[in-house]
This record gives sequence, C-alpha cells and structure tokens, in this order.
Amino acid sequence: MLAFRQGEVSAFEALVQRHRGPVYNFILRSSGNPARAEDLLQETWLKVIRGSCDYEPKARFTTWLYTVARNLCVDSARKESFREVVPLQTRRADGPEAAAPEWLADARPAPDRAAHHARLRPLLEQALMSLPGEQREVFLLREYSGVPFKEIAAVVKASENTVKSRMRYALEGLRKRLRELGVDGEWAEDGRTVTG
Amino acid sequence: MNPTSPHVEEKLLEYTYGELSEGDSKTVEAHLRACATCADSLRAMKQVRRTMAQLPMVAPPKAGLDSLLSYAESAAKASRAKPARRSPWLRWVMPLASLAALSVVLVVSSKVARQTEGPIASNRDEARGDWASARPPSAKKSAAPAGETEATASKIVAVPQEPEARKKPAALEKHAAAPTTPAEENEASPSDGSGGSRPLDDKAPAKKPAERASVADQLPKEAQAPNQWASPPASWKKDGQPELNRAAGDGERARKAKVAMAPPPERSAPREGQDFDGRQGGVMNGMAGNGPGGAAGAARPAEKQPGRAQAAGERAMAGEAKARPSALVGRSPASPSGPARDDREREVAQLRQVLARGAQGEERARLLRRLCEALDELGREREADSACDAVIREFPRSDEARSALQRSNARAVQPPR
Repeated sequence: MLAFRQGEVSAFEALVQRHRGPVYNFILRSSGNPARAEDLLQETWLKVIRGSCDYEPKARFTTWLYTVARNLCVDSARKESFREVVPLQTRRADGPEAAAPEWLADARPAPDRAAHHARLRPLLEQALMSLPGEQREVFLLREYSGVPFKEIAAVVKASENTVKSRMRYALEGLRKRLRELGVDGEWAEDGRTVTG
Repeated sequence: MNPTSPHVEEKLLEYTYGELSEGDSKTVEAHLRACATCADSLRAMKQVRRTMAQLPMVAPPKAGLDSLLSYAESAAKASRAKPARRSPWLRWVMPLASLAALSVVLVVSSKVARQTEGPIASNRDEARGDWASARPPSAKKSAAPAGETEATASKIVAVPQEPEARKKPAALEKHAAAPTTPAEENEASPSDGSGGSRPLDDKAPAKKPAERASVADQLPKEAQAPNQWASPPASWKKDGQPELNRAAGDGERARKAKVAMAPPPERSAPREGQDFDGRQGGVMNGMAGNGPGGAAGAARPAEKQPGRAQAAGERAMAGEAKARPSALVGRSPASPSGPARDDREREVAQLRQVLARGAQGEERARLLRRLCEALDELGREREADSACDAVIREFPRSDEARSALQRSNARAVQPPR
C-alpha cells in the first residue's frame, strides 16, 4: 500500500490480485446479494485508492481493507432495510432446494463429487445466512478470510473477547442449523478447512 | 460444545484456529487427553469447520476491474506529481503560526501608526488652538482645502490620545487664560474654574440628582425634553479609537449627505438622534440626561452591550444626518429667528450663568457642549468655537468633546456664512 502511495500502480495490482476474491466473498456472504456485492466490491477498492494518501501503516492492510468493506456492507444493509426486499430465508419453509437462491446453484455438470457439492452448497449457504449478522461477519472473516481474532476486533470495533464469544456462538449456531438441514459430519468427506 | 464449560473451552477456539502460543497449546493438548468433554467440544468445532470449508469461494466478477486499475493508475500519477505530504502536526501548526505572525504585524503597524500620528495630532492641536483664538472665522473657513476632510478625521483621532491631550499646547493654554473678546471671556472663564482641565476619567464627584434637577429647573421647559442625541452614540468608548474613526467616517458621510439632503423629515415619534435640533427643545438635554431616565442614563446599558451600542451609534449618526440638515447645510436659512432665536439667546445666557456658578465634571462638559451648539445655532461662530475648544481642552476624552469636535469640524467644512 505504501508503494502504491508512492505512485507504483503495480503494487496496487498485486493487492487487488491477492485480496479481491476473499473480499468479494466476504461482501457477498455478508450481504447475500451478488449485484449489491459487486457494487460494494468496486466501491471498496475505490475507497482504498482514494484513501491511499491518508493511509497510515498502523495496522495490517487487510484490517483496513476489511474495515472499509465491512462499513460499506453495514451502510448498504441499513439502506436496504428501508426497501422492500425478499430475503434469502423467505422460502426456507419450502425445503432446502427451494430456499437456495439461483445464484448459489452450481450450474456445472456434476457427476460424483461435483454433484455432491452442488447439493451441499445451498445448504451451507443457507446455514450461514441463518446466523445473525454480527456472528456471520466474524465467522466469515476468521474462517474464509483468515483474519485473526485480534484484527477482527479492530474491524468490527468490538473487544477481542466479544469477537471470540460471537465466534463460539456462530460455530454452535452452524452446528445446530446444519443438523437441522441434514448436513452432518458424514457430508464433509475431505476433512479439510479453509484456514485451519 | 458448551461455551459455558469451566474447562479449557475458552482456549479451544484459539487452539482450533492456531492462535495459541506453543506453551498454551501443549497445556490444552494435555487437558484434552484427560477431559472427554473438552475433546468432544473440539471435535464438534472441527466438524463444523470441515463442513463449512466445503463452501466454495465465488470468483469475483471481472467487470469493473479494468476501470478500477485505470483509476488507480491516474491516482498514482497524481500522487507522483504531488509534493511530499506535510505531517499532520504541521497542518495545524502552520495556520496557527501564520495567524500569530499576522497579529504581530497588525500590532506593530498600529503602534507605528499611533507613534506617527501622535506628533501630527499635537501639531494639529496647536494649530487648532491658534485657529480658534486668532483667525478670522470667515477667512479661515473659506480657505478650507479639499484636504480638510483628512484633517478633521485626524483631529477626531487625536482626541482620545491622553498624553497629547494632557500636554495642552501652550497656545491653547494661553487662549484659555487670556480671552481676547468679551464673549470669549465669558466662555473662557469657566475653564479657569475648579473644573479646570480635569478629564472625566478623574471621576469628579457627581452632583446629587436633586442638585442637578435644580440646575435643570432654571432652564426653559422645552430644553428638558428627552434628547437622545444629547447622549453621545453609545459606540463611542472613552478610549475607543476605532469607534472614533468610524464615527468620523459617519460624520463625513453625514456631511456629504447633507448637500443633497431634502428638507428634514417630519418629526413623529422621538428617535435616537432625531431630536438633536428639535429647535423647540433640546437645549439642556444633556442635563436632562443627568436625571433618572435621561438620555445619558439610557445610553449606559448600551455601553455594556457593544453590538447594540454600535448599532445605536450608527443610528445616532444616521439620525444626525437625517435630522440636522438645516443645522448643517443651510445654517443661514435655518438659523433661528424671532422667538426661536430669543429662546436660543436665553438659553445661552442661562448656560453661561450656570457655568459661572462653577459647574464641574460631566455637567460642565455637557453645559459647554450645549453652549457650543447654541452659539453655533445663533451663528456666533467665534464664540461657538471657543466653547467647543473649552470642552475639547478640558475634557479631551469625553463624549462631549467628541461631539463638540464633530460640530466644529462640520462648521469648518461649511462655506463661510
């Protein structure tokens, strides 16, 4: 970031290449809306460019980046709460398949493993979206973006203990929800985690 | 998984995510080997993580990436072109430093201006003394050059300068001590009294209201009508040079306005400054102001409130311009004649009488100023000048002195009658 502030465009390209995917997934799963996630992603990076002159390397770049993204998500959610929207959970009662939005469905031909993932993915999305926003953002940041608890505390402007507490409740909530959806340990066959 | 478990539950989360130190990790592992509850909690936690890890990452959209990079490029170019950023504290310090420097420059320049103004002012005082005592009025007034405006302004500025005023040019002293005409003798004699040249600041013992009332009773009834002009504009502070300059500017405006001024507007409700030359009254308004509820009394609260005081001063000056066209512009046509003139003459006589009794302090200043005005109205310019000079000389920092000075300045720019 400091290199970009000095005028090196290549430094910014490297940052985009490294963080664009995780930030997009964080925004997408925080907001639950791909169109809005796309806008917010663009806005996040524009803010990064505009704020580069005021950037002070007090914390890690990722902390600052996710703070920007998270604030935009919160603002957007606040604005959206005034509009009439159909949330993802609306059709949950219709069954697991019906509850998953179309954008979550895997369109690829899926014999074997791909078919398994295609069935599993909407359920996981659904379980994730069932979490309260505070717990979801902590889980997303720690589990998928690999941000340590201390930095998450800085991003969400809460104490580290609060963040850990939210994380425990998130894991517990997911466990219960996955069980409700019929997703238990047997589904997770490869045994790997993203960051752990 | 039970978050309230008293075991190593607190550390299991960090252990799972690899955020524990090596020592703590070993402790937790030892505990897990012995504690089935914590081991179950850890297992459940890991199972959830394993399941959720199967959620694939969604590739970010390509749209907007090019525009983003081109925007970044232009921003980078701009930042390259920009000079090095100032540190945050400099952003605060620089404006403060420049402000301090500016204030120093202002203070120094005002001091220099005052120093250069001092000798000029004292010279002008001397010149004024000579002018008041010796020059033929008509000749001097006709010779008033275009630069007179500046001269009058500087005279007004010079009044509040105590050192110069207290020095009292020799010519003025002489003039005060040895009047040349009987009329001047009448006017100058009070200056030899105990009131002397003591300025108002000396806090001469104020007369009791009853005493003041007795003096006021000796004057014509109409003279006791409330006259707000008699109280000086509240914006004139004792030592307020800027206010004086502004007042001088207003006076100048008033003088300019009087040339094109139509006949005076009708008097309706008494307004500030309007009844200054209400010829039927207002001679001893200064004295009326001494009493409770008088104009001077009314002006006191205004002095405590600068904003209102300034506004009142401006209104008063504007009132002067509106209400005194006859007094300032066409003196001769508006000069009192018949009964009005008689009233003036009577007023002058009574004023002199009261002054001769040894009026002191503020009262003396007011009486002298009123005498100056009355004589001016009667067209006895020389005597008026003398009375005005006495006020200016004896009470150099007073409002009365300013008023008298303004009146004599106005007279000075008038064409000879």
